[in-house]
Amino acid sequence: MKDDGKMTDTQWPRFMVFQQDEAGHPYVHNGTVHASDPEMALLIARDIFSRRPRAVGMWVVPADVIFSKTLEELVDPSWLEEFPPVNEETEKRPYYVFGKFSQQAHCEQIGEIGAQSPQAAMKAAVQTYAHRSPLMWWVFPVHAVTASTPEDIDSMYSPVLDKSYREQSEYPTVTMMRQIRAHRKLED
Amino acid sequence: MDDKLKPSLAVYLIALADDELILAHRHSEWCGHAPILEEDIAFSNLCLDEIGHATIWYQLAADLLGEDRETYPDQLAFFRDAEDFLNIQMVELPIGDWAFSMLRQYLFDAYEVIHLERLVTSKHKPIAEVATKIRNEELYHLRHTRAWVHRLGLGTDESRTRMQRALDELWPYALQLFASPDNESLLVEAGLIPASTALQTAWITSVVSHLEESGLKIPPVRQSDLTSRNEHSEHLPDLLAEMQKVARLVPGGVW
Amino acid sequence: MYGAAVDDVEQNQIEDQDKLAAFEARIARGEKIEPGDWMPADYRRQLTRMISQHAHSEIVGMLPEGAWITAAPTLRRKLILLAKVQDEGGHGQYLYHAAETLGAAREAMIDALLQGKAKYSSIFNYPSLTWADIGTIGWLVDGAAIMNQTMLARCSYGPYSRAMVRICMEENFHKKQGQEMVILLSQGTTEQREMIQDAITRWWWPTLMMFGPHDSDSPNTPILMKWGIKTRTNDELRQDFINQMVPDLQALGLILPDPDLRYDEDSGNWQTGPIDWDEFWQVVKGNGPMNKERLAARRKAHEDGTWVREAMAAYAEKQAAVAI
Repeated sequence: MKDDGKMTDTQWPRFMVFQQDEAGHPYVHNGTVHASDPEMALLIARDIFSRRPRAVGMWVVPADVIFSKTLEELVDPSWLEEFPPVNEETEKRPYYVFGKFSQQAHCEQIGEIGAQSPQAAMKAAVQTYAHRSPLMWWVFPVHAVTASTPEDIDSMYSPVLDKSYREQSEYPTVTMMRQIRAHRKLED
Repeated sequence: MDDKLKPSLAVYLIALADDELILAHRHSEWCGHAPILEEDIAFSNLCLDEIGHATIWYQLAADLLGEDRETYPDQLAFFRDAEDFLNIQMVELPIGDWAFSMLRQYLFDAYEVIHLERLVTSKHKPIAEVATKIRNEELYHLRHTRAWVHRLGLGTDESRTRMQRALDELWPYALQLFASPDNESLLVEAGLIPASTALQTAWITSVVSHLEESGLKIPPVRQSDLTSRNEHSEHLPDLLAEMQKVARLVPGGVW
Repeated sequence: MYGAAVDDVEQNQIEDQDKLAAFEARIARGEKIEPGDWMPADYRRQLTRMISQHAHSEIVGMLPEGAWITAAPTLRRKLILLAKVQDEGGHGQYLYHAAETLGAAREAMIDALLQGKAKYSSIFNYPSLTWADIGTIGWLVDGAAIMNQTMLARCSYGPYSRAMVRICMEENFHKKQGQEMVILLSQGTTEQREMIQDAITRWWWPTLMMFGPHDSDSPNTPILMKWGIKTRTNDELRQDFINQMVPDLQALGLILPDPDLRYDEDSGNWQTGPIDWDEFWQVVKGNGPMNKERLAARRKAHEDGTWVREAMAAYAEKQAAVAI
């Protein structure tokens, strides 16, 4: 909550949402939700993002732990100097690496890296996955992810498949207009 | 199934559908007015599912009564008067505040999950199939509303006060879910429906522990005064007047 | 944040001509600008304004349609309308996200809307008077919005473009269900035909005004086109829409409230009579039939929900404290 005297509303923190469309496929970034805690974020993400295309899994991650660099930002290597050097004694923790592969695409999962800080993770990711050549890079700690479980598929993600009224094809307007133009009325 | 039981079973299903329809109708009033955008979307999803479920139960009732399952659901929803509806009174009550609606939805979702789990083994195959299909969606509903109840119960003094007030009002109404339906013993003996006492026991076990964990006190009421699903509060006629006003402009109209 | 950007413009124009040239070259190559990339302060500001207005429009747009969920005449229509309004909320949600990537906070955007400082599409300041308005809004208003949105899906800013692609995919169901409704009503009973004719009469001109002022009165259009935010002008989109809609509406026996409407053989365009821009500007300024009611409804929802948002935040804080 802000306390600048003017505005004290909270719209809750932001969580980035990632979705897996089929088992074994990479997780892909979808968007964000505002939620008060990770469990609520996961529940809300299901309602916001699995209205259409199906999902078999979802992740939510607090937006502020995602460390992002575009190709343009990486061109100038001085970004590395903005951050204090890591203490080599610090334990390495696993980070997911995501990248955007075409202009229009969302970021999708590339792999995993061990590092002592987000910046070190980014540096390592850019080196390790250079051959993938993404246009934009994201790294975030694995432990920051709140994930759905396989058991959730039936109750959370499958039911949405039956809702045909959201499909364009449910509304035969082309046929209807053709009938009216030809016969001045609708047929049954 | 004994043909003589069909009308009673149909009445049972219509009552179930009426509960879902009226509750979904009430809670759809929140669409565009929820406390935060994400809940406008999420709570509407719940209403969507419930209307879908109501339609399916109406269709099964149509099949039992030899009515046209394409038209019978709309007939029931839009062309019955208040005295012919079979829902419990709890679902007719105005939406109140967010605590009231969320708690009401939770109490109902908890009942639905328990009910559906037992309908999965109904000797009437269509019921068993439908219950199997929609049980999953209900599990999700319950997870959602359960999480809300817990958080509002424990969040702030204000949210706990509002939740307690809602519970004090809703609890006696909720117990009407377990009033014995007409011809219950025949339907239960035929393995078509679960016994209402069994439902009540399971429901009490489930909700009491969760509500207490959420910092709330259960009102000391054990049985509902409201036994007949044919009696309604003063809210239902107004609700139906709104719900049916366009449909009744052109009876039999194609919309 | 809006104020800060204005000062930035002066500064950046002197120092960053090279960056600007590189930026415009990226756009010319069809590249997407992502959060973190350099962008002119004016680009950021224009986009933030556009995207947040678009988001507000979706949210306010839930109100005229949401009002009819409780009176939908069949179970199927009830489901369809509820799904549509839910989608609109979802679209607002995607759009707020895109604006957030530019640095805008959702609290601030909502505050600006509720205080009447932020704009939203004026079309939603008209009332939905009958059930037929629902079909009309679906076919005409969403139809017009889709044309705009299809264009915006090619926008140079990545998050906005991706939000628009998603929205476009979902929007087609909105238009089709509306068209289906209008067709059925126009071919129905006398009462139904009168209802839909009345709705078309009321919504036709406001829908045409959705495309914005004539090109000659749109000073922002050239820079927005240069920056790949707009790819077609207001009048171009408006003409396409008119050409699409008039033949279909007439085939259904519906009459458009325009005595000057005629088909021009040479251009292949349907020419309309003059648009009443006075009405347009009155509505934009806040004097439309429903401006006050729309904002009042949003304010009430927001204020009534304050204790809820606070309670959920308080619970989360307690959990976090326990975890530590």
